Amino acid sequence: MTTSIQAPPRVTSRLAGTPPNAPHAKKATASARFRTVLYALIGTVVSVLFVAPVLWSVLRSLQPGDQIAGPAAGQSFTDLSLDNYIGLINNIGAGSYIWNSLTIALGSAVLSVVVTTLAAYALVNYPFRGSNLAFALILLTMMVPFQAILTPLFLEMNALGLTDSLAGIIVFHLTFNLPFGVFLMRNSFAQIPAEVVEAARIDGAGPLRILFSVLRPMIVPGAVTVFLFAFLGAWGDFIGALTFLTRQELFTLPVAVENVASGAFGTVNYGYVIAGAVLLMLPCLILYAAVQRYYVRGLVAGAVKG
Amino acid sequence: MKTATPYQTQPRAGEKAPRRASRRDSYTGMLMLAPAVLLVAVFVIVPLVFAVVISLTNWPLVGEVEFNGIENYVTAFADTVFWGSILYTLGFAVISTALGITVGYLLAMLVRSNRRGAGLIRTAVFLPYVIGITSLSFVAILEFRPDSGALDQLLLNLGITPAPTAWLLDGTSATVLIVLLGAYVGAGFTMIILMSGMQSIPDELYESAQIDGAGRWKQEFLVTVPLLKRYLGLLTVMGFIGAILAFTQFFIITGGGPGTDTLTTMLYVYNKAFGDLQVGYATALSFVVVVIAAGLTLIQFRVMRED
Repeated sequence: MTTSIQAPPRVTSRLAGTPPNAPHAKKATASARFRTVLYALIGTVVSVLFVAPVLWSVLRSLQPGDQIAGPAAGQSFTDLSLDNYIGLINNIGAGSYIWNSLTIALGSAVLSVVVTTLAAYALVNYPFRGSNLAFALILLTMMVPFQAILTPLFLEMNALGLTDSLAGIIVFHLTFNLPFGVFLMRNSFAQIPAEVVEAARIDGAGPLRILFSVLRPMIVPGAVTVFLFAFLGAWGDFIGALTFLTRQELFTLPVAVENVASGAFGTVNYGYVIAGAVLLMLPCLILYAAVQRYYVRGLVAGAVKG
Repeated sequence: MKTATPYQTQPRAGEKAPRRASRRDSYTGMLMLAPAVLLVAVFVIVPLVFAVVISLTNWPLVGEVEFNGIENYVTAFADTVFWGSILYTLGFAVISTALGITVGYLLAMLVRSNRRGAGLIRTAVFLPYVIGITSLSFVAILEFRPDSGALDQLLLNLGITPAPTAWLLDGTSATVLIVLLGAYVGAGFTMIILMSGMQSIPDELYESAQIDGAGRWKQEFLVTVPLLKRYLGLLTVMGFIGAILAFTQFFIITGGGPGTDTLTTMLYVYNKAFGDLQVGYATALSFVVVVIAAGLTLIQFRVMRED
């Protein structure tokens, strides 16, 4: 991981120690050097503290199973292999659970982008009487955490034949991604000057044509952010998968790993548990490395921009 | 991920005013909004209304449904395990939010500068947040085991504990570990939010504070903290909502045990519905959660609208 989170551009930079024109800007260089060293020291300690458990988990997952299960005295990292992963796939059948997880996460992410983009496009460029009410309704979803309506939701989805179905759980994730997604995409569309859309309309382009050929480049960052958070939300989801998927062949990876950990597959193989945990980390780390700046944008926009 | 936004109907400065819509444009808009509205109506509004009905029955997951009025609510009122779980969850919310904001603030102070390496520290701190609580909960059950877990190995080798300790077999120590895990996972988020707040504070304020003779810490408390009130309020509410709904890490790590020592409200509701199959009763209990969560979200909207 060589990338790093870049701070958003600032007008000025007070934060590199003293302000540029501060009265005491010409402090002795010795104390400045001491500060630099101190900063590097604290920064290294903090970074190691946060990264170490992750690296440790990866190393640990490569240990032979009997060492992971064994007492503290017998720890070594000399005999590393992929055995736990191979065992998890061959003996537990993790391949299909990974596939289920990926299907749900990708399906939920793609559909979230499509549905929130269309809704936001309508709200900004094709408003009608009552469209604001619709927006309010979507935002109200945020006041109802899905956990709090889990039981009626389960009964309803059961009645509709949406439990024990990958499509069903995708729809579930899609619904509860809407408030964040619509809000974010609405901001993306709102920033595009009206003249751009107006000009395209005068040229006779239809709504979808305008969306795909004129507006697309301007809303891609928002769409990537929606995709990212929808994917990660579904990938890491535990309670939803636990509730709505009861047939073993439909389990997602987290539910399968929980079953390994709680002994549903016989004796608890801790090697498999830690290998499963590391497999759960992988897509998150890959996405993090690939589209890091979208994280910060999405978080700050979602949480703070009033 | 839970985020929140204030509800606005008026276009703000910089947004375009809505055009006069022709009838055809209205239909286009309706068609494009339909999927989102339909999903919310079917999977949010309907279950919410349906919940009222269910909570007034004995609705077992399997078998005959009987209407029994407010009996569930009467039972809930006297259910000591339930109120115990509410108290436990609120306590967990207070402790984990306070710790999370403290840690996040200190980290934000560290990484808000443009010094070399600040970006790398941000990346490192953000890593656990990206990975998420589910995966790290599995790591936790492995490493919190007595003797063979990393935590015990570390403490035994450092001579802090004399003998292997079963951390998860004691309610207090299990809670402490789960709180620490939550702080570890959530620190990156809190840090990023507070950092973006800190970076929006104009330099002039610090310069004038400095001319008035305020030192570094004084500047922090007299300038930064008051200006970050909104951010701090927001993070407090979000932390509370997250903690009230805490489920995954407790389900995986302790299962609510030993006994009911670490039983969160969500865990209890889940067990009632899908363990004891008492869907009616579980739904009645959920209402308490809905009321608390909705109340907190309202506060959150309030905080966000104070500009």
